[in-house]
Amino acid sequence: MREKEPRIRLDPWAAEYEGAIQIGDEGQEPARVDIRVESSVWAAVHPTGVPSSRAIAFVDGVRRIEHRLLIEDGSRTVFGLLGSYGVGATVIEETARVAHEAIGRVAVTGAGLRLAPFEAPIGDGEIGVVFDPVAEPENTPAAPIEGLQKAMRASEAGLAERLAAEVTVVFLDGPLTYVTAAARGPVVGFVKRLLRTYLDPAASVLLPRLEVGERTPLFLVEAAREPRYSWYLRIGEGRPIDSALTGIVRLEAPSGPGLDAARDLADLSARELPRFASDSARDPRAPQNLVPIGALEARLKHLLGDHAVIRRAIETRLHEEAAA
Amino acid sequence: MSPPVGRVLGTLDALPLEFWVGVEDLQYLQLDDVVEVTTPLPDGTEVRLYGVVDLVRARHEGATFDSDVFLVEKGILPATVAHAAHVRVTRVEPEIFVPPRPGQPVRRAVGERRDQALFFDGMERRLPIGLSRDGEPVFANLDFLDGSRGAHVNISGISGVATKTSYATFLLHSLFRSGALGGEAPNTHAIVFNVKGEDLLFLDQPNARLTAPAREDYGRLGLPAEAFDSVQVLAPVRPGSRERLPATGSRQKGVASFFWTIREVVTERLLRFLFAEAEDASSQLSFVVDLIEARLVAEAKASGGPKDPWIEVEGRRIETFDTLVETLTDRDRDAEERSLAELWARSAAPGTVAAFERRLRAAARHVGHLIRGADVGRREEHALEWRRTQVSVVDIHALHDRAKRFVVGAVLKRMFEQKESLGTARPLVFVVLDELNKYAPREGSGPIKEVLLDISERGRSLGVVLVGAQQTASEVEGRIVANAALRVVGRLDTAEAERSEYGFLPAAARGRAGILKPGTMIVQQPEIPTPLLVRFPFPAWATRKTEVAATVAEADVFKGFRDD
Repeated sequence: MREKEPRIRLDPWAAEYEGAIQIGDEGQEPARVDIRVESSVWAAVHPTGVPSSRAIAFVDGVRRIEHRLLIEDGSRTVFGLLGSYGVGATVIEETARVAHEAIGRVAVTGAGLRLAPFEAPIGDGEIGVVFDPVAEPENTPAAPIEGLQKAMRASEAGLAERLAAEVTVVFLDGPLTYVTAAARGPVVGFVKRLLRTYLDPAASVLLPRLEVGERTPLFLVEAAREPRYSWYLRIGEGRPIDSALTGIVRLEAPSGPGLDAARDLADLSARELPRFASDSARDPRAPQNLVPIGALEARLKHLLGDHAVIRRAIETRLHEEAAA
Repeated sequence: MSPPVGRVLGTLDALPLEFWVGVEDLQYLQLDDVVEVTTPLPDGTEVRLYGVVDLVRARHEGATFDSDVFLVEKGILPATVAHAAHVRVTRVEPEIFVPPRPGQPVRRAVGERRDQALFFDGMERRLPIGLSRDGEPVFANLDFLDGSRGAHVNISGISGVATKTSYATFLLHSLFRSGALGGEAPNTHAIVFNVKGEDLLFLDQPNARLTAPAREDYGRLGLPAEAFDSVQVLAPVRPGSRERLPATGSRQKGVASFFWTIREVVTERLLRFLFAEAEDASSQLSFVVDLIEARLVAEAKASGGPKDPWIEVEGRRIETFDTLVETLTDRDRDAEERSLAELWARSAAPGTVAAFERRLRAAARHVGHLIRGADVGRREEHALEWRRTQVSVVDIHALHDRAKRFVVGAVLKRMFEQKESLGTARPLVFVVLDELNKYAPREGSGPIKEVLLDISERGRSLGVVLVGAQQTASEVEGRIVANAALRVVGRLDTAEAERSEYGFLPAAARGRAGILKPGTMIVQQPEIPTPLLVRFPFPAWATRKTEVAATVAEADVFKGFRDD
């Protein structure tokens, strides 16, 4: 009986020695882009008017690999990890507050292998952490990280959809990949790193010329899953030593509610977002990493718990198993 | 049990004698709040720690930079405000010194628990010494005031705002009226020196400005809001007044004059108190004073009866102090131009005798009128007899410094000798003396300092309790301050508060001593390991003429002039 149980062992390479594996949130599948949907003139748009005091929410998440695993399942070795993620929102009304924080812990394994929930007691055992099993079909070293990322993104998307009913607009960190097609609330994807070019070189010339608070006209991205309206916006100026694209972010909204709804969201974002831009003195990812998001990430990282304590708990649990 | 106000913090060290409390939302802790927390031991024992809040702080959590405060207020940066309070532990029951467990609920200590926290439960005879900030009475153990286990009070604070003498009189009121002294109270006495101003001259007059809230304060302390009822006010006799009228200030009625007869000064050896200036403190000079005193005693015994105010020196009757000075210093009396003092103090250096004579003449100018050998009337009416009433106020504020020292020294010496001859610690006598630094300075020695040191060191067993006050304890003889069981601090100069004399004040209390309002004192007593801040009620007795409640007759003087 015991022989058939997969044996969980630690990957000798601790998580922090892992080379940075970029998880591509933005799919690399070719997308057809139409830049003439809002206006026939490709020129900067500067929505005027003062920022409203309506409720805005920023949704974001953080993740952490607690331990990488190698699972001995019969004759094969399966890649896996124990990971934690935290998801929450900063809600801006009169004041800014962090809300709806939720922490998830998953035991991700490749090759479609599904473990039992992994429990690790802390200290005297009165409290502990439980990692819920998640199976990924592939068995590559990157697959478990994909699983952790997906779990976090799905949780973020779920929170964004719920919040969309309560506030004027939800800015969700990252593209809208995980927002369900059925969702029709005002959720805007906020992409702070421009890893992928959607515009041809002729149209891209406009980007460095955008002033703070100016956006490009909407363009339609004909993605396979769901077409989205997208636009670039300058939320802040970089330093002279930064690239000309510093301070430019890309935003996207679902195409379902229609062009007018998307234009409203685009104008709203151009009016609201610049005031949340961070500056380089407080955040190395300035100005794209917005102040409310930076604070939310710090709060969520804190809520993940102490890394060393959790690793120690995992190791204790495995020691006990090995000794049994 | 009251609801928790917070929980023991785990992010800052919790220690058996101090810990931090995270304060719950919708709750607050302020300085001086009394709190309790229990902590479980593995064997099931519960250790209860009591303490007093001595620091409170609030800060933004989630904000890193100082400028974040502006972002938080603009609603851009989310941050929460965290309140925490530092607790100084006063008591641990049972005495197992473990830190409180982080996360344990902390509650306000009320009722019996508060009494335990502040050791009031173990005080058999509790003396109310003021109200805490939350309006509850604060007690001192009478055992440490009446000599049973300790005695003496020392009060420090800046003049004018520290209200030192007001607090001293409040303590007297509490001693006489709280019932703590039991049956002894009526037979307990106080000698109060009014050193400056006239604020102690109206102790027996109700205060017209006493408000209803102040009356409530007295009620909460279990004290009547009344003036002192057995008071005599003694003022120095007016210079040259044959009728022995008192040199009164704004108080006209009910003041008796005091003076000494020449015979008393000589036989009780009070002459030395005329040489009590700091610069007089040379052993040579006190040697001359000793010699002259001894000769004068012999002369006094040889002439007249013990009731006669005068003495005769070499056949000459001395009826005024000036005559005495003249007799002692006159150089025309013999062919060799030697004064009597020189003759009597032959063994001393001539220079010292000259110094003696010079100072004696200087003293005569300021003190002479207090010493007379004629026109003494009924002597007992003008003697400083402290047993006549419960409180004797000796008004010396208008006297020259030299005369002040003489009066204080002479009164205390006589009282102490009377107590010594009785040989019992009862009746208790409380001596209230402000400007202690003038009478018992840190540097030098002198006859008054000796009397005060005597009181401070032996007074405990003789039932003499010194309630001393001064602006700065660092200028007062260290042993007098050290012997005080009750140390009280009013508003202090911030530089003064850093001196070692105030070592009993924790850092937070030192800071607060610089901003104390009149009517608020910090009191340290032997049984409680942390000083307590107390507020004492507005005096129920007048402290100046305008506060004296008008009598019915006086109030009606203007009746006919009113419109109605």
